[in-house]
Amino acid sequence: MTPTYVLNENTHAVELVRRSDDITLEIDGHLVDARIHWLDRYQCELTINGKSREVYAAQDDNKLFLHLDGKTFQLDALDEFGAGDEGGAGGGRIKAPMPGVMIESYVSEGQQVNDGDALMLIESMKLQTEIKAPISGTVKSIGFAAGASFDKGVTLIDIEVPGSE
Amino acid sequence: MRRIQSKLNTNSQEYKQFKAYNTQVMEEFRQKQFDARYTRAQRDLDRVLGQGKMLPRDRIKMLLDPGTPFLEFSTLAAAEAYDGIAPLSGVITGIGIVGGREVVINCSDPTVKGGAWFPLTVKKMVRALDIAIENRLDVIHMCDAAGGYLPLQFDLFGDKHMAGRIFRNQVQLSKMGCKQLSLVFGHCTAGGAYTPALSDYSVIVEGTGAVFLGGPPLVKAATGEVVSVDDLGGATMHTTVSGTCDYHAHNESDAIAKGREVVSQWERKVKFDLQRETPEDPYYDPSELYGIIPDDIKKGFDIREVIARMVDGSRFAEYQPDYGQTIVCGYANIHGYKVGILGNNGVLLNESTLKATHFMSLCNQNNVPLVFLQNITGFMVGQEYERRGITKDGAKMLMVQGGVDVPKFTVMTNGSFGAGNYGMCGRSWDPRTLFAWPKSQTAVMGAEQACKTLAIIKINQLKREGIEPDPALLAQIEADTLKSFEHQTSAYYTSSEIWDDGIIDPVDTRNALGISIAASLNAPFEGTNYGVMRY
Amino acid sequence: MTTETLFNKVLIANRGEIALRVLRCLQQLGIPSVAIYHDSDKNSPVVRQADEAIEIFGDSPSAAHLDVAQIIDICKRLGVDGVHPCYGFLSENAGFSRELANNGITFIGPSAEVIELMGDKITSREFVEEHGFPVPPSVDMDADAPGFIDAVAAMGFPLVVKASAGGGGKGMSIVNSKDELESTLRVAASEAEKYFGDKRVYVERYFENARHIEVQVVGDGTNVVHIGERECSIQRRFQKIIEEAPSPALDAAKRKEVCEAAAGIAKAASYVSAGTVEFLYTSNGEFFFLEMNTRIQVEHPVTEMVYNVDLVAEQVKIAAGKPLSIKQKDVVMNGHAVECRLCAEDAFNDFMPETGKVLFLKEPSGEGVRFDSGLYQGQAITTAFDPMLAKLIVHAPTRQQAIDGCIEKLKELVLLGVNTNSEYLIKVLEHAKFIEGDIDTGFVGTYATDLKKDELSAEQQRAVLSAAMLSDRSMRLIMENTPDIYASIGRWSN
Repeated sequence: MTPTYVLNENTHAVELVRRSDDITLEIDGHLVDARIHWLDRYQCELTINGKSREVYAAQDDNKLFLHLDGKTFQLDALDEFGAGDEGGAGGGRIKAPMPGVMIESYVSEGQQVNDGDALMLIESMKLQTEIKAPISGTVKSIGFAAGASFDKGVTLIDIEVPGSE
Repeated sequence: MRRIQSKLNTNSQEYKQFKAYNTQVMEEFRQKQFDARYTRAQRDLDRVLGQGKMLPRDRIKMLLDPGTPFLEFSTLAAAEAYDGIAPLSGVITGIGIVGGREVVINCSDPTVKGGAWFPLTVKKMVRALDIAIENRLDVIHMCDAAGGYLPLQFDLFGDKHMAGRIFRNQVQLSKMGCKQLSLVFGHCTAGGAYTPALSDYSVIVEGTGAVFLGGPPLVKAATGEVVSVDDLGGATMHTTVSGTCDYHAHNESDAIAKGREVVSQWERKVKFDLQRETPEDPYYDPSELYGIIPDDIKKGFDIREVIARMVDGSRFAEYQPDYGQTIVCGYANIHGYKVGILGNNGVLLNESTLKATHFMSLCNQNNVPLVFLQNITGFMVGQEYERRGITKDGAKMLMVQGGVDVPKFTVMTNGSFGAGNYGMCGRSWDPRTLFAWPKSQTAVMGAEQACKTLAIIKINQLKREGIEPDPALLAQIEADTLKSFEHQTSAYYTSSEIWDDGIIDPVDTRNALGISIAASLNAPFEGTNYGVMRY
Repeated sequence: MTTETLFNKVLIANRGEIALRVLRCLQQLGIPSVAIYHDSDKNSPVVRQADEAIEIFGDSPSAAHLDVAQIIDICKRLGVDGVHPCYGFLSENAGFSRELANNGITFIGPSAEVIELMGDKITSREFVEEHGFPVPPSVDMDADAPGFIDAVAAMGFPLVVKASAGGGGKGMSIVNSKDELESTLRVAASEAEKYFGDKRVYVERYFENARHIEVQVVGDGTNVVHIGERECSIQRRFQKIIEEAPSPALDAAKRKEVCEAAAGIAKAASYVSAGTVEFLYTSNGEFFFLEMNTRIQVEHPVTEMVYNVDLVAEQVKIAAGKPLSIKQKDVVMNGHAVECRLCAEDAFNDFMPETGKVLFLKEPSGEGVRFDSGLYQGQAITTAFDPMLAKLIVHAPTRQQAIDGCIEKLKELVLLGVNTNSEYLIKVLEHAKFIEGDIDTGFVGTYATDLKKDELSAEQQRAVLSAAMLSDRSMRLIMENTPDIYASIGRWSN
């Protein structure tokens, strides 16, 4: 298997080449010498090609959080075996830009909508946002009922574009 | 342990000559290996990829743990057979690491005639499973084969060690506690259906995987029934109705993920605690081997120079260094593991034969595996030696070598002829793995010697018939025989026939041995029944 | 030190960092404390450290904290005689204040009448204007009235639509043209109804590049003192993210003028407890009353550090009937303090709120460093509450030193598990204009192109990716399970 991580929307393969006292990695095709010394559960000293740093690391499932050089980074450990389930977001599938709560849907299933129509009102962190249709089509399904909360990235509404699958 | 003092002069004419020669030999070898592994007709690649499948090596890469080695066996199997239509003999076998455990990989290559089983395919698979049995290793089968290659069915079905042996080995493995996982990527038809069926765990891929004793065409011919591949033996049917397969995967990477999860449930075997010290790279540069191995089979070299470039720290504790000097015996570490090495430095005489015998008994008593570095033309012949019992001594060597309980590993470095092959643990003597260097030769006797012998026989025969031998004709016969012999004694020929577990780069020997030794520790060392006799 | 008890028991009607901060004060004053908490906060520090902790229930965590009846019932059961409402929630709810009074419980804050006066943006504007203090131009009509839209448009753009019952940056929307006006009014009314229970809105001229300067006042009903000003111009979506005391814009004369105006407004209202008078300060030195917040504010620490006062203690003592302990002549500025609000958001992506969990926390500390937070390891960061996680305040002899200190401490702070704006805050603190003190409420928008996330150097990227793989739990498990010999031979094949 090939360990793969997504950082700032780019995917990187971080291959383990060899490991004894030193570790050799291959990152995006370039060899890197590394040494890691764990001080406790979250803190380590990492030396990359001779340069040492203090690094803090924590993980929640496949989300990795790192702190180094005074900055925090979040990476996703990509499951290369990823089921590749629900195909890509089609032109008519609107995903939640942030976690929040569904306030009210202005449209219902089966309704015709036009590009730019206001579809629904969502709220997050006390901020209300109107979701508008990115294309014209028929409302295929609405993800949530009024009052229901949702996470970032879930499908809020699916609009079927005539002529497509 | 003291470091071997190398006497090699890397500036000598001989060194440079050998190095130039071996560099070319290696290029040729790497090209052949590359072709066997990767060179395929575009339509074969397209066909497999077009079915939504991954190429077999990509499947293996995804399956194996990151940062771990893969010791591939017999890459050049069938390279000189079947007019070259079956590179790799259509199957990839080797030892890899999954979930930290050593596993034998048995992976069909569907880009080679659809993964069909040629006689050598069967032989390669049987050999892989024999390795699993002897070393008590778990096995992962990656099934994607069209079935037996019918034009040659006579040569792959009936005999004891033919196709049936694959399944018999599977049964023995399961019985001895070795796990088997089948990842069904393609069709497992007829006999092939038994591989997943006999596996302890199986995963089958939706759409492309299928298991049935007879495919739709055969079923229609036999009973008239019309049924699709999926309905007859597809993933859904076998994982929901018949229970023949355990896990349904919706694509290949899902199958591999499930496979890794299955393996992570397997017990971690308690391995034999072979004496181990901190590993160390050889002190001398292994690539100097290219300047040590001669460009002519008749030229000799000091096997100690080879040992020095293979063992940890180039340290070697030589046994009986002043006696029987045509064989070198001693202890060394390879990747930290203690081993007893035997290497030829000439013909086997009475003393060297007995020294080797004694040393092997010592290693057996000491629970140390044996590594044989073969470069042997044979035992000494002649009246003096026969009177001193060279035949008896050879028998002692064979009796001990054949009877030790420690694992044995053999490397054909140069020549492997006649009874010397036997004494130094050739193929029939069950080394756990046997690797050959590209220019090594294996035969009953050397090609030139054989030709001369045959020529003498021919001359005598003609003389008996009263015919005067024609020198030109004789020369022609000799030349043809020589060529044929040279071809049949070459490592490429023997490897093609799977009389070894693969040709390797001499520099890779250290890793190949290290992995072989580490894997062999999964089987217990049986223990000695006799004290050591001073032969 | 004093033998007389201020209160028998005080209930902290809030959560998070401010509840913890108030608790500290109660502990210092030797007053028994009660914390109330929704189930989602059951492991928070204030719950663990308060003398008593009672669970509250509601349809949502926020709803629980707004349930007046439930809270009063708890007070009665536990013999609570004082309630500190902190900020947000019920802190500016006059009804709550009255209900407490009806039950003989002291509301630690101003009177219900003053809360109502200042809580209604329309009435407070009128009050301030009547007493001779400057207010921003606006339309003097009901939003429902016919002709409102035209009158508003006539005032000129840009404008800001504000909820009458809003405050703290909430319930405000900018309108740049007449087209946007109707839909903005509609959404604003909806939000106002939902959050403040009052759909009335009013419209003011919007001064795009004004500075937000506010003054801390404290009164005991007889006397009022001001404790200097704070500048809170660095805002996003009308919410402050960086505040400082004193304001780099004011010289001593201007400071006196603005602060005395604030004190004057508070005096006119016979103000009791701590409060803040917010002003709009234009580039030509004009200032207009915006609103008065009749509660302790989020950014109160900068004032406390520069003027060496404990505002919460003052509130508690005044509520217990004591006179103001601070004299105006004792209010002496010392050094400079900068506060950064650490928020759970993707600041470089339009400040989109983020959720997550506090997997690991290492708070910064040091000379002149104050880190007010209610964070604890394992805490779930959800959309149930405000995205503000904590406040970092640095007090130093000079403004630049305070800025440098904030940058240093923001880098030192380790919070893993949820995306925060700390890198963004550093970008602001390092910006030349911020360093010059040349800031206004449009700063975040004006310099948006400068305030972009730094590109990772190739070396840094390698370090991050290496750290990721080597710390990844599943990889560590694999590496642990790989026998040494295979690890050292590594990725090799013959």
